[in-house]
Parts: sequence; C-alpha cells; structure tokens
Amino acid sequence: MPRRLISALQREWLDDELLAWRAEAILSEEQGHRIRELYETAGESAGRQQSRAVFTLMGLAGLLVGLGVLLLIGYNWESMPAGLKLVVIFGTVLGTYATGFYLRYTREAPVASEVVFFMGCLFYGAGIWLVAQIFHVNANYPDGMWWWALGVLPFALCLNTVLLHTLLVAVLGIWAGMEFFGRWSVVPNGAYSLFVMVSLGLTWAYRKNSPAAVGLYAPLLAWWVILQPFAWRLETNPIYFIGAVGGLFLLVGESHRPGSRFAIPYRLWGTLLTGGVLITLSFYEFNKDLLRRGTEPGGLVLTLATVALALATVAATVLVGGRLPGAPVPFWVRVADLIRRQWLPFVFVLLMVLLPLWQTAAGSPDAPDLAAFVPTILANVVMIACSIWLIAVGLREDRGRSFAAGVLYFLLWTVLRYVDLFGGFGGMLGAAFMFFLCGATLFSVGIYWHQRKKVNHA
Amino acid sequence: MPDLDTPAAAPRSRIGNLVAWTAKHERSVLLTAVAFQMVVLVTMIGLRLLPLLTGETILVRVVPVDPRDFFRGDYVVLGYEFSRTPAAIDGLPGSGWQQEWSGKTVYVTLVAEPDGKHWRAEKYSIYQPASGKYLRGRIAGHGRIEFGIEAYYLQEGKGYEYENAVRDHRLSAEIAVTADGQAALRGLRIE
Repeated sequence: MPRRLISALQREWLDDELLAWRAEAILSEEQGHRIRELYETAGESAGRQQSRAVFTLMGLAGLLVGLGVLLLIGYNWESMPAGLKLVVIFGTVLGTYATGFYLRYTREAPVASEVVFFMGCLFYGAGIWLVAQIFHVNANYPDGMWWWALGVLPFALCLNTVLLHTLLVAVLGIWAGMEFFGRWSVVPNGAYSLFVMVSLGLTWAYRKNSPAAVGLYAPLLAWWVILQPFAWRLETNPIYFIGAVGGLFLLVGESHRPGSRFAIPYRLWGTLLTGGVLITLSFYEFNKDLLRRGTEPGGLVLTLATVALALATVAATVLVGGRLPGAPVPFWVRVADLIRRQWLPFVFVLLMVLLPLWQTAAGSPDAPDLAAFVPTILANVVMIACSIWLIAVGLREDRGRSFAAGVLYFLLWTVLRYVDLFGGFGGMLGAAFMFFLCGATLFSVGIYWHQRKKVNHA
Repeated sequence: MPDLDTPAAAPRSRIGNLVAWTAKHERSVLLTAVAFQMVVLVTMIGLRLLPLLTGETILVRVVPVDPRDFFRGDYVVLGYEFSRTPAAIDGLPGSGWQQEWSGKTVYVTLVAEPDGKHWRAEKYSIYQPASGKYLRGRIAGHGRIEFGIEAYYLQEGKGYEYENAVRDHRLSAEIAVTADGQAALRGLRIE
C-alpha cells in the first residue's frame, strides 16, 4: 500500500505530537511507529519533490523545443524540397514516439517517456501545420486544431501526467475560440465535440484523483459555455449569462465533499466570474445604461438557456449523488437538500435570471432612472453575501485563500461604494454612514461565527 | 450529500469504463493513437496530392496581399476574379448576393483567354457541368467563393516580390484541376 503524502511542516508537527503522546503514555512506541509508517519519509518526500521539479523542467524544455520546431517550420525554407520536408516531419514524429515507447516499456522510465510523448504530440501538431504549408491547404483553419486535439486525447487519457492534459486544454481552448467565429453561417459554430473531450478529461481527473487536471478543464468548460451566445449570434449583452455560469460553477464546486480539493477550481472560477459580473452590476450608471437599451432580441433566449443549464446542472449533480454508495434517497429529497445547503449559488443563478427579466419588463430608451435602483441594490446585496460566503467557506474548510478572498472582496465593495457615495450621492456623510455599516456588518459576522462555534463545540 | 470527488465515487458511466479500459490496454491504445496521427497527416497529404498528380495545370490571374500565420509562417492570400460572387448563379434564387447562398457548392466553368495561356470564368452554376474545364467551389458567408486555393505559403520575407508582381499585374497562379473540378495550388508564376 503506498504511503500517504505529507509536507515537511506536517511531518514536523506529527513528529512533535507523537513524542508528546508517547511522553503522556497515550501511545506506545509501537503504535507511534505504525502511525509514522503510514506517511512517506523525509527522503521519499524530498525525492518526490525533486522528481516533480525535474518533470516540470523537462516538460518546459519539451514545450520550448516544440515551439522552436513550430517557428522553424514557419520559416518555410524554399531550398528544401517538399518530399524532404515530409520525411523530416514523419521521421521526427515517429522517432519521438519510438523513443517514448523505448523509455516506457524497455527502460521502464515512465516520467521521461511522458515528456517524450508530450514532445511527440507537439511535433504531431507542428506536422499538421507543415503539411498544410507544403500543400498550400486553405481549408477551415480551426480544423487543424481539432485534429491536433483529437490526436493528443488518447495520450492524455492513457498516461499518468497532467502535462498532456495541459496541451489538450490549450489546443481545445484555441480551437473553441477560433471555431465560434468561422465556418458555417446557418448552423451555429458551437464547437460541440469539446464537451465530449472535456467529459473524458474530467473523468480521467477524478479517477486519477488529480485536482490539478480538474483545475485545467474547469476554465476550459467555462470558456466554452460563455462563448455559446456568440456562436448562436444572440445579439444581446451576455453579462447576466456569464454571471449565471459563475453561479453554476459554484454550485458544482459545493456539490463536492466538504474540504475536497476538487471543489477549489470550480469555486475559484465561479467566484471570479460571479464576482466580476457583480462588480459591474453594482454600479447604478451601468444598470441605467442597460435599461435604456430596452429589450434585447437574444435576452429572453439567454435567460431560458440559463434556466435550462441550471436545471441540467442540478439534475446531473443530484443524479451523480444518487449513484453513490449508501441508503437510497428519493430524487426530490436530494434536490431539496441541495437547494438548502447551497442557497448562495442558487441565489446567484436566480439573480442572473431575474435581472434580464427586469430589463425586459422595465427597460426602454426613456426608462425612469429609479428603475435602475432595483438591479443596483440587488447586486450590492449579493456582493456582500458573496464576500460573507467566501469568509464562511474559508473558516469552515480552514482555507486561508478563500477567507482572504472574502475579506478582500468586501473591502473592494467598500472602496467602490465609497467612490459612489462620496462622489455621487451622499457626500462625506454618506461615505461615513457606509463605513459604519460595513464595520457593523463585519462585527456581526464575527459575533455570529463565534456564537456558532460555541454551539457546535458545546 | 452528493460527493463528486473520490475515485471510488466517480461516476460509473460508459465514459468512466472507457477511461479504465484505455488504462488497461495502454500500449495498444498509444500505438493506435500514433497510427491515428499518421493517418491524419497522410490523409491531409493524399487529399492534396490527388489533384496535383491527376489534374491538368492551368494559369489564372491573381490579386495577393501579404499576411503572416503563426503556425504556418508568411503567406500570400490569393484573390481571383472568379472568387467574387456574381449577380446571378444558375440554379440559385434571386439576383445579387443573398445570405441563403452561403454554404452552397458552385461550379465555375472556365474558358481560355485570347492569349492562350490564362483561363477565366464564363459561367456560374450549382449544377456540375457535363464537360469542359471547371472549378468546384463553396460560397462563403462573406459572399466570396472559396476553392481551397486562396493561400500560398512562402519563406519568411519572400512575399515582397510577389506583392510587386501583382501591382504590375504580372502574377498568375498555376492550378492543378481534376476532371470533377477539385483544385490545388501548384505554384505562383511571375510573368
């Protein structure tokens, strides 16, 4: 059985505690030894970190060599005949893979072989562009990226490294960005096969217990979903949709076990998207401008898409939860439980559904200024809720970054409203009132948390 | 509580089974992946070699510009007089550029110019001509007809002589055309 990973700080703490427990006769020498045996030794830990550093360096070197090959190809020597160029392409790609197979199965050097396979995949991509160059192929440009990604996919799924997933995500991200704005005029260019490839990659990431790989695919998935309104040529401001995608990411993140590292990528991207959108929507002038645009043609379609996405996300989350070991729980009970536990992501999504409806109902070129207060106030309230939620998540899961993000977001909100209130509405007194309010809010959160801790530990 | 994060708790879907299967047959899958990559490259080459090996070479006049492509280096974008969508196309409704025309396959019948060297467009139709020399193209969304012969890749910095040639109306493209109208760019000729 492989030993559990442990950092130097954790090992130091564990050694000290084991000594103390032995001194107090809580543990015997034998028990302490058995506990210590569960974790990797200082030598193993150092070796692992060294391997990781070497792997990172080799991966980076492989990437640079690959980029060099791409530029070498881009130079396009006139003096080199096309046939010779083809021999060089096939020789390089096949030679690299042969080296990879030799290292992996003959020399049993899996780490080195993974770097070589990574280089092989880079050369394969370069080969696509070189063949296109030699034969002056002028086909749909993104197709080259798609075939590149498809060639990398089996390597990413087979090998035990995130290096190839990084390449796959980069190629797919570029492909999606290109595909959305080209090809057909009748059918939307939705880059639909990306979803299948991402599903495979995410399945690999969960099976291999790799939050790093989830961290690669999560932003790609967000990018793909956010680009859809552009592919479908919905002539509307996509800000509410982007916010809703952020809310759904938070929802997926919070569906993980408390303290799970897999939740972090979803929470990070969800917070960035939702937090960014809320900042924009918290300005009165922005909302006034949106309302004066009136009803936008694609607004209702995007709102319906948001509702459909939310329902699909909830259904998928609940269904996956229902297939886990344990006593069977009815579907609707699981849905109700999900909403109860994850009210804040739901509030985000609900807000992003309600605000475009409000724009449709109250928006017109001569909309009254007062109408813009509703979205402004709602966005500000949810901004505060978001910061408190992040602080609470940080405290609950003992994650300093989440806690710090919540505090910083609250401070950012304070500064933004200070600018508003001091410059536009209440003057110095308004700003003073706002600071009193902020201080009182933080005090209240602190007292609430303290009381809750006391109840929990009672 | 739904828990998405432990390997044991990962969805037992077909996708999951597929990933497990690929891990079990790692060497075979990797070899198949290499073979697949080779097939992609060989197919790209084959599709382009077909007109070059079997087609007849003709000369047409071009109008280039000189952009750069990150992956493929410097290239010249080639425009032809028959790349512009005409006012009417046999078999398509309406006259003048129509949005619904985009994506349609068009056959451009070519006739020799009086100089006996160059060829020009005579007729546009969605119906494949029974005889004669013709090109098969597709109407793009922006109202131009694309034949897959609109880019010529060059060594870095070599585009200027072609730019000068086109300014003096001395640049022509050598195109290999198969019997069914498929075209491939063989080269550029400064006259």
